[in-house]
Amino acid sequence: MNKRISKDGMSPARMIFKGAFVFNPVLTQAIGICPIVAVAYTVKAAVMLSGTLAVLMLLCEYFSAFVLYKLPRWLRVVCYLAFSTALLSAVMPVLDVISPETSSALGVYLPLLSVNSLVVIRCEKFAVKSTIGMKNTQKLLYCLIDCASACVGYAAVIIIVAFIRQQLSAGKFLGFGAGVLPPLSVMATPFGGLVVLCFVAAVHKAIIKKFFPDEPTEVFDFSSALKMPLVYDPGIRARDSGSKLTQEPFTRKDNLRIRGIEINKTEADILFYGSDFEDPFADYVPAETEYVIREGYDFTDEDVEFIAIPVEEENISQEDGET
Amino acid sequence: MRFFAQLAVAAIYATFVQNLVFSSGYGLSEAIRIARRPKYLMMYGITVTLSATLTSVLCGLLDRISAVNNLSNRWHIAVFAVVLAVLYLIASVILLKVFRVSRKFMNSLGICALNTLVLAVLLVNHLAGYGIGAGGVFVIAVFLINSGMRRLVNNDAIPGVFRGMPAMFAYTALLSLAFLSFSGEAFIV
Repeated sequence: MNKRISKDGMSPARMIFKGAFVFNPVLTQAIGICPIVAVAYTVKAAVMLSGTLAVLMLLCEYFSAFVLYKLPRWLRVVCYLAFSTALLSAVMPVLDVISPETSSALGVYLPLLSVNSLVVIRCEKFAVKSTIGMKNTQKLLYCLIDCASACVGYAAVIIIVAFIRQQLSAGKFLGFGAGVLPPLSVMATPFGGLVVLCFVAAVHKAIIKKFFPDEPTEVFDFSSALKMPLVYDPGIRARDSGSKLTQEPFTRKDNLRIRGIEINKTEADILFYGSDFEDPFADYVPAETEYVIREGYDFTDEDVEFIAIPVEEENISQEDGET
Repeated sequence: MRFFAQLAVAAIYATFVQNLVFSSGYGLSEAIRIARRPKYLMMYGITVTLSATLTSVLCGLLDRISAVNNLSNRWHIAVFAVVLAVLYLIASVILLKVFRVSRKFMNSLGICALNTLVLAVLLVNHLAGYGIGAGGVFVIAVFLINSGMRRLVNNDAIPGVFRGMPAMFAYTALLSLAFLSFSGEAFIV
């Protein structure tokens, strides 16, 4: 198996569990919440949405990993839209046959899955960037594992949220409280979805704290909201990245592992290590993130402006030897 | 004059009465994620506005063709998606070749121009005013979420398990409720 699949010695099952539960895309990163808060107020709708998304994401990840990875990102993004829309055009009639009422209730949210941020982020971050250099069989496996982890996590959240909303909208919970609790029609609005999501996220965080104390409870970097003012200030970004910084233009022809990077261009030529769940569209990366720049790739001032702290050369050779 | 008045009414309606982000959830993920790094807020706002408005106008014109107007729902959606994609490609090529914008800008452009909010405008109501409203509502959403985020980070009054993302969801829920009130519906009796 490729080193990146097993770099932490994790089995595929463990990777799926970690991706789905510990780093749940919805609860820890606020990805793909539009359909959850808007239309996931019946379990049937939740199952249909998550099932459709799973099919869409798997095919999109394969398409990205095998075909789109050579294109620049600005072109890949529009390919996701075209490919997803074509797929959904084929899937929607099937859903109309399976459950016409649910399909109709989902309304525009079903076609909107074609631009769902979960699909785009997973394709960009994992299918394109993390599969560089892999053999085709490894790509197939990697995309399958990644898709399973994202979709299981997404489906779990959307079904739980829908179940709670459905119960509260009907004025009961698990059969109790009928006639006592008033039917809460507000639960069918995005407000209701977000309130339920808040409590589900809190329970998730409590479980992580109790049973997985070594895992981070905060993946989403809220502190950058404080660091980054509305008006862009490069000086502030530089100070955030660490203390020993260099700001010289950088050209490199060898493999080099660097830390604390600010990237203007996040093309497939940069292999991502660590901080796997960071936003691929961000140009600010926490100082502890590590990257490997592919051998033979030249950065120019136009491509990349960054601040890098090279890791000790001996550390690189040791780690590369291990992997 | 009447045209501009209608445009303004549609924009105000999309921003407040049917707030596309908080009352319908369109583009909520993007708004939350951009709110933590809002330095490109204006670029996002302008791109969402232009993208939604131009595609709305084009789709509106296309809908006047009876062959397009009579298409089934899924083909209609496919046509709108194609219009959006083609417009994005044309804009990208112009920006790259004529204005020679940086790749960094181009990388962000895709996310600004092709997201749930922009496509939702086409599918919900492709009036030009809605497109303008979509840009406005997105900027307001990011600004409000960013303001809340700054107060929620390092707030010791929040219980431990509710800090971070749960508090963010609760805050966004309150914003959603506030904008729902503009719709005039009574939810809790």
